[in-house]
Amino acid sequence: MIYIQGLVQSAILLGAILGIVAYLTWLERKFSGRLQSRVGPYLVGRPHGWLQPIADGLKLISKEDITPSRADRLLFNLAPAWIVVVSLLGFAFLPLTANWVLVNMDLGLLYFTAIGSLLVIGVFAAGWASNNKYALLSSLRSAAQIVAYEVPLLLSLLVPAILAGSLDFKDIIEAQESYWFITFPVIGQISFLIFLLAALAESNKMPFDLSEAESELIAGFNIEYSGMKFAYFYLGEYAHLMAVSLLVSIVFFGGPLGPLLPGGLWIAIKTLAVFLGILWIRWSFLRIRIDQLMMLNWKILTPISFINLLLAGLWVSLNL
Amino acid sequence: MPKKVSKIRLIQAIIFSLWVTFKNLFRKPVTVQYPLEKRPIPDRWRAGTFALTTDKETGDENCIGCKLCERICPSDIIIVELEKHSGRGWAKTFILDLQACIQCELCVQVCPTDAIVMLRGLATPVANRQDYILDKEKLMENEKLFEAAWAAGLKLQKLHEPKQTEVKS
Ligand code: SF4
Ligand code: SF4
Repeated sequence: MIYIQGLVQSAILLGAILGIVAYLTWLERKFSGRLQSRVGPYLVGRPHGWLQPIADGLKLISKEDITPSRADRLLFNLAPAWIVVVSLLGFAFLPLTANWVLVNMDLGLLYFTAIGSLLVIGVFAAGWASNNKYALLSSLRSAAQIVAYEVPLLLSLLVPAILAGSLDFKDIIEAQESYWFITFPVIGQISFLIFLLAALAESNKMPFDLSEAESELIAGFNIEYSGMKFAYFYLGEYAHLMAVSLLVSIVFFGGPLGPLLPGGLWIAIKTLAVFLGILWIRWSFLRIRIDQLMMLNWKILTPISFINLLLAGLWVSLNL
Repeated sequence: MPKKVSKIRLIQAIIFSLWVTFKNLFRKPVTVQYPLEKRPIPDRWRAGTFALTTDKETGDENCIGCKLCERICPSDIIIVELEKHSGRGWAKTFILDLQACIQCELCVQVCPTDAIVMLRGLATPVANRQDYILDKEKLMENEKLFEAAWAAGLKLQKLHEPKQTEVKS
């Protein structure tokens, strides 16, 4: 019985996530259009292009599915599935209201970051299996970037965990009853900023989208993919971004906590706000160079997040 | 070694770029949805096709076959053949290959009789390359297609004339 219940719940969650992700792509195109004083999609489903994601999906489904003749067939077909599965797996551990979570475990935060860092395997497999120099270069870059930014990402996520005294999402939410961790003087804001930057770098987003650099690498690691397989990469990317926004809204903005409205609505509003914030950062900056990227990580973000973690630890241990 | 930029400048630049995109968010987009709404074509329009004009009163062609436009055209796409009868020159053939035209308007500027003008309208897209090689007949027909742009040879030449200084005796 409990298995069937779990199956049904996860099916509902999966469907909801896929639908939301499809419309997030529309939202991103609209929002980024407005940020750059354009209009974004508007023709399909006038006047605001409501039907654009559906049209995109139909187009991608009807495209020819090409596997290059020199590619490693197994890996080539496995990589998109890997990306999608891994980025959707993250949602299983994130609580969507104060007491509804698909898989409840004590080490939720740790598990989430561990699964997030498995993405690099899919990216690298895709680049390697395509047997294309651009794809290979791009996946090398992206692997270096993801592995490097894992350090500040984890260190900055540990700050709320230390403040809450637990790695369990539920405890983290409960600890924010009196104040959200983002409002914690200095430490909270610094770890929030570092986490945001590291998460952007992890999901290969705009100021750090070196693995996708159109001007040098054409499209990056997914250059050889077409049709639905390409759509999988797209889906995985946005699902990951959404999971990161959800995580930020939980660990820094108190998740479902808030006056008047029910918890589910609060978490949706906060996630949307964080998502738009990420898009805002993403569409405001230019791409930086690979050496600047690494310098930013190892010389700035990592030391600062270490000091930050130390301060948070000191504060907690002196107060107890 | 690249020039060092101070840290404060960098942070200023980061905040400034965020501010610029934020301002855009609340502005009306500048996009003009072209096929749905059309922008007015300015008076001195310089991107379209050409026409050979005729005299309003007599109905004669204005072109005297002087080949000035053929000489000045930087892309070398105008070919005029001269023919002389009834006291003046005529263009026996006049070929303009619109495919290579860079819309520099030089041919219009040099014409001594306002014979060749640019039209205030877009060139119609064609399916066949041959259709962009405009011969004399097509150019004469074009006159009826759109009105002529503001600029015409004599007007422009007058603008460039040096000011006459009065000679005092
Ligand atoms: S506008 Fe076109 S035809 Fe006239 S001179 Fe320039 S290139 Fe030649
Ligand atoms: S169009 Fe004007 S410049 Fe060209 S040949 Fe005729 S009169 Fe001369």
